[in-house]
Amino acid sequence: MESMARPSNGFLSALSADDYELIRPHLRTVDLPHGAVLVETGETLMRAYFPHRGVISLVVELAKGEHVQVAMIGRGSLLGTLAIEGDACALNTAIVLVPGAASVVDLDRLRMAADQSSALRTQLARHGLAVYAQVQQTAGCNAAHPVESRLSRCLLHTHDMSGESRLLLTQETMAQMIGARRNSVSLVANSLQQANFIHYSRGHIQITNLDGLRQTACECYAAVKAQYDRLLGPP
Amino acid sequence: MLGRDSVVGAGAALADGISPMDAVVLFPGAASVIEFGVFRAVATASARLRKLMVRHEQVMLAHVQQSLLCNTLHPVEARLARWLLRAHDLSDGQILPLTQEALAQMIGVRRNAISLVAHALQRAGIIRYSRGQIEIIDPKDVLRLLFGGEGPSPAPDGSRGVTGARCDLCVPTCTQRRCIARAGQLVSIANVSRREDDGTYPRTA
Repeated sequence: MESMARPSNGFLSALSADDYELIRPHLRTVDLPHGAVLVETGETLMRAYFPHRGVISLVVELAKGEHVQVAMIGRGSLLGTLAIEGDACALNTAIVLVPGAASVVDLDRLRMAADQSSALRTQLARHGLAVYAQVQQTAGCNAAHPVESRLSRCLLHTHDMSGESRLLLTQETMAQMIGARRNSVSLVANSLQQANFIHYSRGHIQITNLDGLRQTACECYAAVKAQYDRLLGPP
Repeated sequence: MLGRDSVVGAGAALADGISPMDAVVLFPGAASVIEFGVFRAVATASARLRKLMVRHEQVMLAHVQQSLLCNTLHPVEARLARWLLRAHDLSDGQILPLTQEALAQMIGVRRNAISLVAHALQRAGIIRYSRGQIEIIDPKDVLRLLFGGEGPSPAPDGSRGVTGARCDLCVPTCTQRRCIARAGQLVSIANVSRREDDGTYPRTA
């Protein structure tokens, strides 16, 4: 039986009572402080993270030190899907983009739970594909779309995933999120501000016109949203 | 892009039939197929098979995110060269039936950008290009184009194999490949890694 309300995470709240009970005894809550590195590429991931609030950014890097964000994980999903049944060696670095809190569980525990429940495994596979969908859409987007649409898309995703319209994002971070140069981000942030879609000052972004951003964003925003809805059901 | 080193649809099968991508045959060939339902039943019965499938998913993800990085940061020439090498690997170095239109789509650029680069590569004697067919004359030349000078610097493990080198650039890094391949008992993945380490494709039955 459940003694307490479930943590506010989409993955956890969608589980059947039996599946949740497999995980519940092992859940702990941790803070996700801004900028914390949860795992680096090549390290072994020890825990799965289910954000309640906040957003985790997955980034890949080149030897030269260039970074690009490949996907984000928010309160609707979890970090560590593929590591549970696959290899626990992290394929990308996970950094806290928007601070918050998360439930965590040791991967071994989650692995044992997955061994016992095919429904749980199916859910994990779906969340794995959702991340995959995000990465492949971003791959297309970064190759083909202008900085302005990419920044709008990214701000919208961050807003959706965090549920917050005031975001602590430096231009450096935004540049990394969309894989553009800092000065082009600066120009574009300026023009979004002039259009009154955002208000930007000292590393804080206040989204003031969601519809405006939606119109500026490329088709990739809606495409990823549709994939998430299809794979993970309505939020 | 995947070939005989992997599988299409395994992730979707594990996720109950939902797939987030379209799969299109790029180069003609033949494949083994299995019904989703049967595959799911087998996967339910075998934890080993499931783990192998998820590892294939991870390799795919590693490829996609590296393409993302490459598409974002690198010039068209490098992107085209990387893509051609991967296509060359997967198709045994045969002539690739590819229009410039398709090629532009593959690496996410305009057709005229491809035209210019393909023309330059042809003039340099690196590829032969005619009427929707591309032949890579020598993959080592493509590598030299990517890395300049004597070609690639050795991988961290000292190997100078064709792909050991590419981890400097845009194939999944050595660490990632090694991590995925570490549990060598998983045959196909180990084969992928062996091929990538010494440049030979395993001839398993």
